[in-house]
Amino acid sequence: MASNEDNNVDDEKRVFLKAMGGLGAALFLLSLGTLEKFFSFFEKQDLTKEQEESILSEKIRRLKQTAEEEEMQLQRLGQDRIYVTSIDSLSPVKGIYFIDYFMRPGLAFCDDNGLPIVISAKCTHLGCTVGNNVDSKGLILCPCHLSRFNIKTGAPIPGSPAKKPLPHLGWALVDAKGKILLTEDPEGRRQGTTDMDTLDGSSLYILKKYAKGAA
Amino acid sequence: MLGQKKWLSRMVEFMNDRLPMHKFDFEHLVLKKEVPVHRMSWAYYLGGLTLFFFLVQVVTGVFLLFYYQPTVSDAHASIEYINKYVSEGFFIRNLHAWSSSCMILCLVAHAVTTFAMKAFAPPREIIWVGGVIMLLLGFAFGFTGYLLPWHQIAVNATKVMLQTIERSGRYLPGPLSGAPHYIKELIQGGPVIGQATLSRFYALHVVILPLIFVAILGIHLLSVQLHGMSQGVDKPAKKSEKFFPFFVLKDLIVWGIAFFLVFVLAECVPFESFSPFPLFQPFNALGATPEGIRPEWYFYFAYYPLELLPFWLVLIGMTVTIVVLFLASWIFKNTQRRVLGVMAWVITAYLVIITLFGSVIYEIVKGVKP
Repeated sequence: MASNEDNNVDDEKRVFLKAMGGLGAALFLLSLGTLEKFFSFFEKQDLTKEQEESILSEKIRRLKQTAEEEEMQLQRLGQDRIYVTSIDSLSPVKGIYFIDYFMRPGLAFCDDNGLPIVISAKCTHLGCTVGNNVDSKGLILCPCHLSRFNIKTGAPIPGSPAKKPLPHLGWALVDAKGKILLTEDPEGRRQGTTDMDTLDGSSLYILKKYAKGAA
Repeated sequence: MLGQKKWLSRMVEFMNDRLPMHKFDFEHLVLKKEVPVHRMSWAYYLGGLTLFFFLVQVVTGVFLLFYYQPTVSDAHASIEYINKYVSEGFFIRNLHAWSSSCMILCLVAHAVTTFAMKAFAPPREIIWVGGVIMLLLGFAFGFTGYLLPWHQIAVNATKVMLQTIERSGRYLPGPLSGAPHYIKELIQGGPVIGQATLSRFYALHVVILPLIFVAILGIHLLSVQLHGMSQGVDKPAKKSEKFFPFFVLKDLIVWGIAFFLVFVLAECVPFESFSPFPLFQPFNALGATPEGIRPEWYFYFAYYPLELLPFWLVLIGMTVTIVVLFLASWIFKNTQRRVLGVMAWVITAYLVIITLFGSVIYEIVKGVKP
């Protein structure tokens, strides 16, 4: 009885040693492949002059972009109005993106009467940024869940996942001397002249006094 | 006073049953430990496999820390640098990405088979609840890691996820309705997704979540070792094998095969090759969200229902699922394994169908590509 147990233990030992030997060999082979990769990961990169230049210029470009974004944030904290674009560059078929007072995206279009349409570009469904191309029906598309919005009313068309309209943002048209010629609040109430000859060449701004709601 | 003592002794008794520390010796953990051999024995390897992929994640993750820069200006550029210029950088990053998917796949498979084998039954409640927490942590790893490359899909998909959290507030009663908005702000760290969000996700992904995961994993493994492998089938298995050395060696062989497969995958197939390229351009705040924004495949089980069904219905479904998962040890205490097996098959069928064919179902129902 005792010798049977001894034999079993011997068998177990033999199997264990064989398996450990196999595993050791496998581990050795595996090490050859992986350790070479792991060590070379930490080696100094051998870059050409062109590569170094390309990396540095890209780094500087992105740092500048980040600095611009930070500057935008600073402007929105301190300034009562934020420049969007000139009225002449507005288009009825392709909106111009800008950043609103809450650092959210906005879109500016040109209405049939030549005046701006300024709406939030943050989809009211799940917050994606809506597209800026207007189709033949006057609609823009949110690419995330395919909600379509009327740019004039901001309202989503029936069947869209979004149920609430894109909010209108208050704006002002300002002449070269800084004089406000026309304003429109988020409810669409206007103050000032709508004479297009007078407004020609003016600049579009969003106004802090119209910024409301949490981001 | 007497009642208090009784309550305390019950607690001690409960914990002694769940963590029988008297078995914490060489004899119980090594010499006497047996693993049942039956038709479901393969499932015993899934937990170890999950642990293996987690270890790969930790090692490759630490490697990536040497080059990754968690700032909005440098995050994307540093990932590009790793991919293009660091020797074997592409391989290490790809290995990290592939093994993350493998880890979640094994986590889910481990949870489903554990459920089918009734390995959650008392006195294994701590093992089960710990496992459920680690399953959720696995998804949290995926969610937080997704943002770090700071490309279009990363930022926009995170935006959608956070907005989804906030949206759930509409369906909560009274003061609770404000909680999801608060949670969103807490995660986001600012009015919009920006540097604060990236810093938070980075801290969560590389420090906080791993620490919590390792702590729970420690209790989970200790508890499993003290209780031994669960029986797994209704009729006690006729055969069994020694945990040490046989099962341990087989486990190591499975790890070796898994490593070989993920190694080849990481060497040959770029993880990002399944999504269209524009999604991997650096995030641009001044532009439309590009088409094709989607979460990682392991979130499809929630993503497609959210796209196709009323939000409130999915919200209730998810809440019930999480509650049932946590309380499975008590809810299904007296349920037969055969019934649990059928339930596990239904869950598996749902997960496989929605993950593989979710986009086709969406196209059929909505008439457009997702």
